[in-house]
Amino acid sequence: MKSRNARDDEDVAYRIAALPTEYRESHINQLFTRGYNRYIVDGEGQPTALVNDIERFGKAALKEQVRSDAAEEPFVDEPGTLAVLATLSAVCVKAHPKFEHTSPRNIQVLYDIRELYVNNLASLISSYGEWSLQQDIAEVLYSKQPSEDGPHPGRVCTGITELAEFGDGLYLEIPMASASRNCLVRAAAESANDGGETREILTRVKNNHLYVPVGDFDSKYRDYAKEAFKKLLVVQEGGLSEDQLTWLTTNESAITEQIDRFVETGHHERIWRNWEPGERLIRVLRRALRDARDDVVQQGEFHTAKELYRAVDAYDAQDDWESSVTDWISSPSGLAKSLTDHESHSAVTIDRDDRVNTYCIGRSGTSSEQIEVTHIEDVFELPCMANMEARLHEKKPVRKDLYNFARMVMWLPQYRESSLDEIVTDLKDLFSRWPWYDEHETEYQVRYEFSNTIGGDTPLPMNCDNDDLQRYCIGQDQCPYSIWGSLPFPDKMYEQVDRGSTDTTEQF
Amino acid sequence: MTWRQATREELYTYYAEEFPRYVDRLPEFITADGPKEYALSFRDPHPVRTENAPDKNFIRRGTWQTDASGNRATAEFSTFEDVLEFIRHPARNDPLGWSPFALADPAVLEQPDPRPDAVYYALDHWDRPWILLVDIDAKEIAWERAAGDVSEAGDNQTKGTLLEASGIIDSAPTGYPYAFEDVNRAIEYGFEVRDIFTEEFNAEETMVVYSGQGVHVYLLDTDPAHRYDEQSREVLNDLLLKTYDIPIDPVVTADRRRVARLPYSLHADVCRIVQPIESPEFDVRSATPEVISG
Repeated sequence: MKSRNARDDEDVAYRIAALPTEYRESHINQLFTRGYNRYIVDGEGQPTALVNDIERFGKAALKEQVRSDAAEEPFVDEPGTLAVLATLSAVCVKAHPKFEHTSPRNIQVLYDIRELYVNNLASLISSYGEWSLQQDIAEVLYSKQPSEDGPHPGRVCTGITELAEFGDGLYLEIPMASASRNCLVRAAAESANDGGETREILTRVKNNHLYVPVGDFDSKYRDYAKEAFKKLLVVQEGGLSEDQLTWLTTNESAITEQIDRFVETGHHERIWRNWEPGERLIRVLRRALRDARDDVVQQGEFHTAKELYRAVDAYDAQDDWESSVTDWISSPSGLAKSLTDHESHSAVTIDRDDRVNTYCIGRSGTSSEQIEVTHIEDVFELPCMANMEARLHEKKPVRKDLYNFARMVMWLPQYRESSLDEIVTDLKDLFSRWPWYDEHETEYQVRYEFSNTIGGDTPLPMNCDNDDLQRYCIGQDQCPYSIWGSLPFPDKMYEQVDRGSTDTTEQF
Repeated sequence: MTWRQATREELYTYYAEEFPRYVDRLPEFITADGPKEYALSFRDPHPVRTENAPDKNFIRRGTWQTDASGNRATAEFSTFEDVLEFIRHPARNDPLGWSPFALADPAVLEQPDPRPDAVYYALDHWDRPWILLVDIDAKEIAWERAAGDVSEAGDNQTKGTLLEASGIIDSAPTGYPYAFEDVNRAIEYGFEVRDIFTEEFNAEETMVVYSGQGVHVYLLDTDPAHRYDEQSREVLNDLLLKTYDIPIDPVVTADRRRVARLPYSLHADVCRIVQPIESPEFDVRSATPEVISG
């Protein structure tokens, strides 16, 4: 009987995409062939379509919102295509001249691509609806080391089920005879220094089986995926000829250009994982001080290392690079030493006059310069908006440029109470300066944006972290302004930010 | 009720006269050649035949001689009567008699015939899977209680000073690092564990054994679903300690090389008979051997 093959068997393709470490190189290549076959129409290869999709995938991976959305709604709809696009995007990234002397483990972009791959795969798997696939994955994630008693009998994971007595949610069912400590899920740590052995066990017991909350499966799979994606990438790289690699990197430009823009605008954290340690420390401290729940610690004031450490310990790191900084700061004395090491940083001031040293973390440069907005044109005082203005004289906008701009204007105080007709008139007047201007199109776009709400809330104006702004940003470190800090937005806007609806303009 | 250590003579009398009456009640997996080893401990270290080897106060003896692959070759004890003879007169009946590391010949010694302070059997077994046993010790319960009682008394106290400060050393049984209430609590915990084994782990064969200063709880089912290896037993330990809050000794359950006190042997430190019990109401006074009570 002919063995099943990822090229024409979807079930096999899913299994190889999810568990590549369990398969031979030849099997993984069959998965890639399946992916490449999507770009053959009537026997003809479609290289342009392939490059376009690689670029689209690689650029999308740089957007946090897209990566997290992919966990719910797949960005790519098929496992073979996903494996091809993710690995070839990574190949393009590794070939970027900026990374010539950089170890892959220090390239943030590769982590982002892997995250998009994993999230995308997770949502594909959940919509695929074959529980047996999750069971196969659980079999790998929860298997125990071989023991003196030989292999355990039967399957490691005998089911995925809901159990009313344990509350909401799904559980992986694992027989006690197959169990190992790997199956014991513990409650979340209360602080970074909580080792875990004393935390509450969330795994439940019934009928001589363990019931492991399925959320643990997700986090274990993410850990496993580090090795898994590496294997896919190694096989892909091994299968590319020198000519194919040259063809790929010559034809791909969008990912490379995006990386170049990050380099030019000083967004080190978007491309490298080991960028300047002093700057990383200061950025995390600023964010920790900003987020501190009590009013004990504040930017621009002197505090003991213990007070600052408490704020860092309580800080909920948002990114991998932030976590690596917070994990590394393990005590007040460690923090004090780091601040002393980076005393030359412009934001750090150490007061040694008193018995105990105190430390002041300054704001970025001075606080953001304010801009008075009487006319819409005043917004162009922001360097990024000035760059956008200049570029739009030469090139048509991408749609989001205009959406973003219109949204920013709508939040300005003089337009908060204006009628839609007034806003449309003023924006048409402004847009008419650009050569590609079309009155009807602008009118439609502005009216569409005005009617757009997100969960009943008016979308926020873009802020400096907006991905679409990166093409115009001069670098947050260099810029004396910040969009949310310099423009006279109303308190209501900041209240909406506080309610947690940040970045809502950033829809993909 | 006071507790004391059994004398050498009481130990001899117990194993010569009273213990043989209980042999028929031993769990069926305890036979002359079932457990992989029997072990004895002595109050005073006993010399071995090799001159420069240290004296022994604990000896393990295999129930079978094995070949190079570890397979059974020759049984050391033909019947349980042989095991009994070894317990009564270890030096005279040492299965290692041919070896230079056997106990020294009684004929050449002033203290010729050591008496076992305790008798053990191995949890690892030839004819069935490794036996699952959970150990709950009154000492640990007392120590936790003392730490809780005097937690406000300040840090840096040793176990001894804490037990004294809490009054546990002076409460009956006087001089022991626990009180009777701690032994009774250990027994209650033992039956809680047995219920957990039955209700949550589908066990059909369980046993609670009063161990002298606590309890041993057994899960004896041998079907594949209950063949817990070391890793599964570590999970069981963590669950019992953390989810069910039972103060077990986690090392014992997961260590295949462990030995357990032989049921119906005598715990010489407290003069109590180790024995399977049926209820948390078990009265430790009933475990007094005739040699003491008589």
